[in-house]
Amino acid sequence: MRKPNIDAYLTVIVRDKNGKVVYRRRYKSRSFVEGFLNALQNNFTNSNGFNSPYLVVGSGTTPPKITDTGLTNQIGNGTSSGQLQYGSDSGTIPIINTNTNTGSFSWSKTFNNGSGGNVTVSEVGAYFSGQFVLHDLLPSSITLAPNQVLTVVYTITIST
Amino acid sequence: MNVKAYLKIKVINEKGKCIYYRRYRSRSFVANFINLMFTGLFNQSVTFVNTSGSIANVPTTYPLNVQDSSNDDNFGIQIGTGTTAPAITDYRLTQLILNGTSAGQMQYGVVTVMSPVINTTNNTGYITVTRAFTNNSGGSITVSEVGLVAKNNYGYYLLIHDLLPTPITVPNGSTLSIAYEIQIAT
Repeated sequence: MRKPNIDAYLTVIVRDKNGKVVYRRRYKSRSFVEGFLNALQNNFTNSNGFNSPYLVVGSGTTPPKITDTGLTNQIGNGTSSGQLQYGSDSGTIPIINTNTNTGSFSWSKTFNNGSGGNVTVSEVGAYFSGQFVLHDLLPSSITLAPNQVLTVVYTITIST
Repeated sequence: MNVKAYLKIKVINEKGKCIYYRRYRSRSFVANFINLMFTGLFNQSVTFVNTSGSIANVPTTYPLNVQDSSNDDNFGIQIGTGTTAPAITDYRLTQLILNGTSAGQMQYGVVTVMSPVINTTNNTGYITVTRAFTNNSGGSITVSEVGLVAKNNYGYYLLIHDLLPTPITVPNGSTLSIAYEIQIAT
């Protein structure tokens, strides 16, 4: 079976307060949602380009649906109980492999647990161009102990 | 699955009868697509190459407009006679068929972008980009490649390039309709 034209992979990494990696998993992202098509249509009709990336994490456990417009239960940004401190979104310059005719870039963000208690993350999502575009349920929830930092990385790939 | 693209091709003869229809998996998003998506999202400079071969290395957040008007062959869906296999670094069709009524030319119609169609039963959706090409050249024309080109503030950029598994001969007086259908599944 041929690969999808555009694919996404999700990597989650947890570091302890000393920066040591204590957990790392890489998954195939399953769920582009309706907002991705809206963002593409807005590009194609000259109304809005790609902009404003924003990764989010949550504690919901409901399977994603194509009509989702946000996470089931987004974890707030902050240091109160149940919250995580959101870092900034960053991207790495696309890598184009002319041997395999593939290309990819990565989009990442850190979430620091400064809440003083455990915080469990079970879903991840992404916005851009004012649209909710990706929604993934983690196969295994991640419990962040105080002062642990979760890094979420989406890798977007194309193949020719 | 994540995102897949399909190419639908139809030929209608001068009497309005459909004489050819095929649906293929589109194979080939090219580097410009991912580079332009990246630069828009992160406002960082990245290299992209326009259809004239000029290289830009700047940030841009302008939309990737494919809604070309009729009788213009600069962007939107384009067709060609080239037979070279697409590569990720492609920035134009191998041999573009020009807009017009001279020998070897076809008249480009307007490009239409349809709103997303969402199926909540099977969690799938798609958008469609279409264009018609009319052959009033006086002779048959064989089409072997198709592409999708966007216009932004820096020029015209090839986003998708496909070689047809079987070239299509479009008789004089007939209209070739091309549709790119981009699908997602959740």
